[in-house]
Amino acid sequence: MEREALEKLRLEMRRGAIVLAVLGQLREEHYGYSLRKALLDKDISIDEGTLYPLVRRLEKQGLLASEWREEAKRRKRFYRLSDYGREVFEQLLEDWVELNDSIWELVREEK
Amino acid sequence: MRLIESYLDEVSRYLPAKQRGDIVSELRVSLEDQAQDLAGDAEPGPEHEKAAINQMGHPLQVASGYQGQRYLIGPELFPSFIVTLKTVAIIVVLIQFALLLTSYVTVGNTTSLLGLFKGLLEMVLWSTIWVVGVFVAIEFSGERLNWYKDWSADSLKPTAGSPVDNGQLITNLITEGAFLLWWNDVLVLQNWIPGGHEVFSLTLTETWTPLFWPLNVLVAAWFLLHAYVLYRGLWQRGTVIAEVVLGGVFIAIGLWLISHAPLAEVAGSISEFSAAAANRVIVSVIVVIMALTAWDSYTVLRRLRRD
Repeated sequence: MEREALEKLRLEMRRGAIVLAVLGQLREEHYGYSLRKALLDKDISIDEGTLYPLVRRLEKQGLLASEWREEAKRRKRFYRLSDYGREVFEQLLEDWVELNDSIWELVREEK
Repeated sequence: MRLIESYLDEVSRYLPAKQRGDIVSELRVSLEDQAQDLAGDAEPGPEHEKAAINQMGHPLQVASGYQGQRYLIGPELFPSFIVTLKTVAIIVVLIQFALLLTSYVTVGNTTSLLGLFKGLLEMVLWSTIWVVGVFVAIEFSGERLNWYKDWSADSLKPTAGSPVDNGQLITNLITEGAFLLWWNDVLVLQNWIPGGHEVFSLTLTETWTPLFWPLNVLVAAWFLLHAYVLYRGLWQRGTVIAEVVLGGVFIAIGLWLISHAPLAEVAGSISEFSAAAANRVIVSVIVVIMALTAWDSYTVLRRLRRD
């Protein structure tokens, strides 16, 4: 039961962080699989069932731009941050850093 | 790549038609690349495809990720849905009893216990369907997003009280409603007794006659009080006082009745059930109801004092 609660909280905490990670990674152009691998190389593991729908949602919100292109004789959809997405990413990153600092400060005070 | 195609066919069954082509193409590229990575420099075989597919997961789970979270009645609306359902159920019960009384007074229609419950069940079922339908429509219209915008703390009224026990109040309402219908001859219990009139009948004695209006007024007041408390969801000072006073009046009537036995006359074949036994049963029932009434008043009082 305790383990289950921890997993739930961890999942909730990761949910917001994943968006930031995806936006950060898509400052460079990627298609689905290459994005997942690039994140995995940085120890950020996101399963496909979460990542691909998330990318589509972000595109729908105007944070990403996409285009279909042929590469190695296969059509792939490449994603990258839109101008609006870049603004949002920078703001989110700033918030993230502030929040991180506040939490560290709070934890240090407790100690 | 036959396995991947079969998998994509399965996923596409659950995808929205508009996006199906795009999503399937993206998933295909991803699965093929994954199989290729697993195969290294060699040509990917069925075992590599299988591993890639297993990693992606159940087709329904993959497809559901693209649908977003959808509810018939979502968490924002659900609390108002429950409150509305409760309110409508109370109103329906009140209407049903009022209709039965009106029908008896104007046309002289009576009903059996089974008929009463059947009618109630039908009305509650239909009203539930309507309430669910309306809330599903609100959920899908997107109106729910505007519901909480205009709220302000000014709308709050100062209240103090303790939460109600819904089960206890609903039991009280059903019992009081059924009593009122029986007391006014709308609900006929004789048909319900095995054997009917020919074998055995039980009638109340003259002792009860002066209590016709006092019991009608008392139980009707209780019924309305409990309906109001159930609607508010709170026992407050005023309603607790009313509950205790009504309970006290009922206990006084009960004591008067017990001291004026016999309370019932038995006619017909009484080989298994004598008049004295019938009276003992009725007195016992009255004592039990008095005890329950006293207990109800005590628990309500105690809860209010504790809060």
